[in-house]
Order: sequence, then structure tokens, then C-alpha cells
Amino acid sequence: MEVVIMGCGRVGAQLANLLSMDGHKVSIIDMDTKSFNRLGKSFKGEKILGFGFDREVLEKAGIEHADAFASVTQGDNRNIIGALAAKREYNVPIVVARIYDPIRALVYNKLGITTISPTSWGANKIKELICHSDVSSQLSLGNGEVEIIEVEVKSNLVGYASDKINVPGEIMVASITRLGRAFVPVVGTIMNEGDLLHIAVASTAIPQLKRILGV
Amino acid sequence: MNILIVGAGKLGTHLAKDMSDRGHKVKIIEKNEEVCNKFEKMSNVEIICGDGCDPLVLESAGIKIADVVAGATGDDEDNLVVAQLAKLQTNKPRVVAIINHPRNEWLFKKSWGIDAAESPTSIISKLIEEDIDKK
Repeated sequence: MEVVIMGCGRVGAQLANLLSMDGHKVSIIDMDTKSFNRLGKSFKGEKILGFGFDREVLEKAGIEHADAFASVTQGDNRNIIGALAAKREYNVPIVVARIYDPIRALVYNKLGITTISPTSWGANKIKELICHSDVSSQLSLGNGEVEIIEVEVKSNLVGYASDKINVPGEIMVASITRLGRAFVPVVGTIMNEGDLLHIAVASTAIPQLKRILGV
Repeated sequence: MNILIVGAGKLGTHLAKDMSDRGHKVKIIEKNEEVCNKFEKMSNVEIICGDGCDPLVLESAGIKIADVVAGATGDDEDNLVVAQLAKLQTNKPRVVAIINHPRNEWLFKKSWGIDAAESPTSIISKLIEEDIDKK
């Protein structure tokens, strides 16, 4: 993929390196040449010095044939305008903007931009670590509203059907891994000792899940 | 008309005064507290201290009943954001904006929800060139 990143801060630099290491063609834009030091010597992509939504700068970064665009500068407004420019003016198929303010992030979703709010995500994550350190989240979805949790079946659950754990709209056993093979349970699938459950749970329902699991 | 201006710099302030002199009801949003405190009292002009790029601030300033929303800050990205938020409103206010830097002119257009935009720099440049052409 060809990816254009706007903003070479900590997130931008790390994103650029991750994509580049996976073999993607990366161009990263920043106004400050010193920011590019964060990339390290091994970075193989393009570094473009300039202002993020200047047409010439975007085109120099290859936005006209980019498959994805991410705006991760320090400014929410700059990120949203950069993302909108990529989407509206260059029809970039995948556009992601980092927006610190969670309310604004929701509003801009309406404008067709995928937003990530590290504020909500970080707060949810930290709360989870503080309050639910005994259930381990494997994956946070959206801004942390839904978590995928991994639980090993202990004796208290053995012999019960996995759907007994489900609560409509809040908790669902999505997969069972038994002897190294994963499958999607049906109604009545009996849990065995040592089964690994992957449970999709609304973050607000984690206490309820813990009660059901008896942890 | 109800006019909502974002940015109480020189331009926004003069605009507010001019509009109130013409009998319109004006609200002006400014994020710099110091500027808000120094804002000269005018009849029919209400100053609101807050970030005009924040949807909640715009809402409490009455964007839903505004006939015109003007992005008049010194930052083009802020003026563009104000325009995007204004266009999301169901009352569809007319949106006007200032272009501070001519390089950003390409984004201030109808498809971005902007009904009218002007760049003072471009206007003066054109005037200068016109004058030269005449000589």
C-alpha cells in the first residue's frame, strides 16, 4: 500500500516505521525538519517538509495515488482538515484522523472520516487495567466500548453450555479454542476444562461478566 | 438576521460592529480570555468566551438559529472547521469565511460548505496588479 502520514510526532513516526517495516510505501509530512529525527536511520520512506494541507506538499507526498492517509499532528482541527482534503479532493480510500476531543471525534465520524480518540481509548484502557486486572482484554474495539476478552474455562464452568454466559447486547462468547483449534460455538456447546473463550463484552458489562465467570 | 461570528480579532470585531450598526443581532465567539475581557461593549453584540471549533460551544452560542455563520479567526484550519460544523446543522446557515493564507484558498469552496470566502491578501495583490497594468 501507499500511505501518506501527516505529522511526524511520536505516533506519526512509529506508525511510519511500522508500515515501512511491513513493506508499505510511506511518505510522512511535517513542518519541522527536526521531527524527522524520530524516524531513526533505518526508515526507508519519503520525508516531506511542509505544511500539511498545502496542495503542493500533499501532491509531493504522492496523495494522488495513495491508498491510505492518516493525520496525526498535535492539532485536532489540522487533522480533520487534512483528512477531509485527502478524502474530498483526492478520493483516498482509507482516511484516518486522530482527534483528542472525543465529542469532536463523534461529530467528524458524521463527515465520513474514521477518527480515533486516544483520550477515550486511553482512559477506557487505564480504567480497565485498574478495575479489571483479572480479565485480560485482547482487543479494544471502537474507542474501547467493546472489548474482546480471553478467559480459560475453570472447573466452575465445565459442563455448562457456553451460551449461558451470553447476555443480549452486552456479552457474547464469540469463539472457543479447544486443543489448539478455534470454532464458533452454537447454542448448547458444552465447555470443557482448559477451553479458551474469546468473549465480546461491552466495557460497561465487564463487572457483570466477572460475576458470571466467577472471577 | 442572527449572525454568529467566530474570532474576535480586528476583523471579527469590526464585522460585529458593522453588522450591529445595520440592525442585525450578533454573537461573537472568542477563545482567548484576555481578548474577551477587553472586548468593547456594543449594543446588539454578545461576546462568548469559548472555542468556536467546539460543537458544544457553537450550540450554546445558538448556531441552530443563526442565519449566517462567519469564520473570521486568524487560522484557516479553524475557519474551515467552523464551516464544516455549520453545514452539519439542519437550519443550513449561510457560511462565509476569511482565508488568511492564499495557499489555503483551494479548500474554501462550495463543496466544503462555504458559500463565500475572501482572501484579503489575494484581493490586495489583484488591486496592485490591476494598477500596474493600467500604467
